[in-house]
Amino acid sequence: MSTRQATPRFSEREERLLASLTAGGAGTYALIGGLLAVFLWGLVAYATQLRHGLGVTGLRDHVLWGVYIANFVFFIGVSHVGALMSAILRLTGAEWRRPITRMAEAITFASLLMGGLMPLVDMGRPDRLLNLVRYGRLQSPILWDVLSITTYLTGSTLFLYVPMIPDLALLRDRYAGGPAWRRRLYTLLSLGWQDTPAQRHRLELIVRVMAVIIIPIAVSVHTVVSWIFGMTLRAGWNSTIFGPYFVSGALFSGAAAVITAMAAFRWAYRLEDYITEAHFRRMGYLLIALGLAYGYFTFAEYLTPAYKMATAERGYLAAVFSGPFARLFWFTQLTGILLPLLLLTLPRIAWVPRLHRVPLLRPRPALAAAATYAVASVVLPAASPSLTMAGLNLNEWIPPWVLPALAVWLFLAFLPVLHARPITAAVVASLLVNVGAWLKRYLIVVPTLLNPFLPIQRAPAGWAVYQPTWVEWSITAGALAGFLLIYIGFSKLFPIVPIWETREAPESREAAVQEGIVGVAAV
Amino acid sequence: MLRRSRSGRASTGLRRFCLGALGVLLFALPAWAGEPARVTLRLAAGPDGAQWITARVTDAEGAPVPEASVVFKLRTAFGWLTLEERRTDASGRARTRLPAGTRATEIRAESGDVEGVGAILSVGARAPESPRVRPGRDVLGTLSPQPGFISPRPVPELVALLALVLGGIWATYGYVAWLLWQIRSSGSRS
Repeated sequence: MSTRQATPRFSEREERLLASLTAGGAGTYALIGGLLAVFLWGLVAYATQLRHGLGVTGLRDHVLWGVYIANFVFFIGVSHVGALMSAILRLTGAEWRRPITRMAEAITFASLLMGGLMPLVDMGRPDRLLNLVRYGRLQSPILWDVLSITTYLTGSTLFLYVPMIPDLALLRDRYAGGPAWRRRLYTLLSLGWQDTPAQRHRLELIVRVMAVIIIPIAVSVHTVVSWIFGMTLRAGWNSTIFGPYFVSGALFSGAAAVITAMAAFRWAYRLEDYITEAHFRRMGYLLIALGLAYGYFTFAEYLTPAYKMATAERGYLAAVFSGPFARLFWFTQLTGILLPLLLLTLPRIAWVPRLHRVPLLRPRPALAAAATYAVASVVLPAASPSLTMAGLNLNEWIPPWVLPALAVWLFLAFLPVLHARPITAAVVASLLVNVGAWLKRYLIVVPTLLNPFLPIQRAPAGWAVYQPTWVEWSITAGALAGFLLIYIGFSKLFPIVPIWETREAPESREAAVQEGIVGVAAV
Repeated sequence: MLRRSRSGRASTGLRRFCLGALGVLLFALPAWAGEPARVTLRLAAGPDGAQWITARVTDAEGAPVPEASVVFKLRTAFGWLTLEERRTDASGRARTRLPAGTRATEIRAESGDVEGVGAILSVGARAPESPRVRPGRDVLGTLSPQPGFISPRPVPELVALLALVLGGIWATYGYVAWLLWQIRSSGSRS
């Protein structure tokens, strides 16, 4: 009892930063429950796959990598930015990084765990995993991948853990509520931290060493992932640009994931004073730069083979540019790269608010036109098939330019709204980037496998196409839910915004606001 | 004299005719001996372990057809690949060697012209014979200008490079773990 009374309390600032540990309403539990249900459903699907084999998936002799490997590349890509961005910002002394570094590093940790599982799921016989150790060839990029991902997971875990030690000590000393195991956990992980000069010196040394070493490791991980494809003599894969292409794509999607996480935590735990608009603006700049680099690499990646249209690659490129994958490909390029860049740049132009003065360029007329189009082209044909059967197919009457014109109209109508709400613009752009990033991984894996050098022949007709089954979609949804569960679980157990690092703000109020470490209200 | 010279010219003409007829006969002998009517195929391992395909060409009466043209073909993913064209010997046999490591399901031999006869031998998808001596860099060096990374055995330089890079990183992790231990020790002391 006396110990309880002696326990010092958190300051008001610390309580706000620890809101993710203490706050938890019905909404939070409903979210966790929903994610848990999806995750368990994914486990059921995996049990089905284990029992009946890969025959329950769409994977066959030709398309032997499908959604699972797309998930793997996506998760490893998202994992890229956390440690890398945090390390670069630490080394360059960017003070505004402080409130968001741990969010980024936790993304790395969670996505690496789920990404690392995906190749195991892709294996029909996971019990043969040990053969990788027994018979693995050191010359194979797949073994390099295992080594590099293990090394990166260890390094990024250390990089996440070490700067957290002072915060864990704070929780050890002041976290009075909650079960006893939590306090034991904080005691164990805080390593007896007393904030002595010797301890602080060693901690800062570790952070500096890890920040230096994690950068080449992070770059090498996604380069090695790209080599799994690039070292293979297949159309669309055998490319020297794959290393930097994958790294830029990973940084692009990872930065987008950080922006989404920033917005989610800011909204959920009222962290407006710590995660300010300046953070979104700076992350937006980063996303624009990475998006431009990624767009350039995409252009370079496709132009070289498309210029030659060599026999071996013609089928693959035709399938991607104008064949069965064309809609997905162009949708991915437009909504995964171009649209996010436009969303991040155009709303900043000074004359954008003036667009509201034009009556037609207001959201309501544009939305009405879009709704009319949706009814005429989708709802009516679906609701009354007799119209279509009688030859009254409205889709044939609507000129093809109407859809892109509507998209441009909607975009222009919402530009002033996005100008007034830059955080919304950044979040929408980030979500689009992440959706586009997953689709791009799918487009990297599948079309190449469907277009081998030796045409698919003497195989059942169904083997020449790839259609993921409910098992693959369920496991994919389960993996995404697992990623979010790990991330939310982390934020419920550990402070997602560093307390001691944000305490070490620049001396003057102006500098703090300017650096974006804290908002005006918090200083 | 005149009669003798006429008879002499006649005998010379007869001799030329006979010689010509003999030449034609000799030239046409294979065809006259019998047209290919049936081809049988046999696959057997030679003393050196190589696979040999033997085609036997017989006529309608079952007699061997010598000097008949036989074209050996192999089914590949691209279609029928012509291996070799041979002529049968006196026993009506022609044979060819199957390339090492061939994974063929069907072998075909054709004899005769366009309307000739042929036979297909289904051999099943045989696993290629594993090489008796694993090829090293000396062998691979003749196959590829840069055999290093595709060598069946780890290249020492590659192993050294990987060990250096990974060893350096994990040694740094070890250093970090030691520093963490120092933090823990100084915390417990104070």
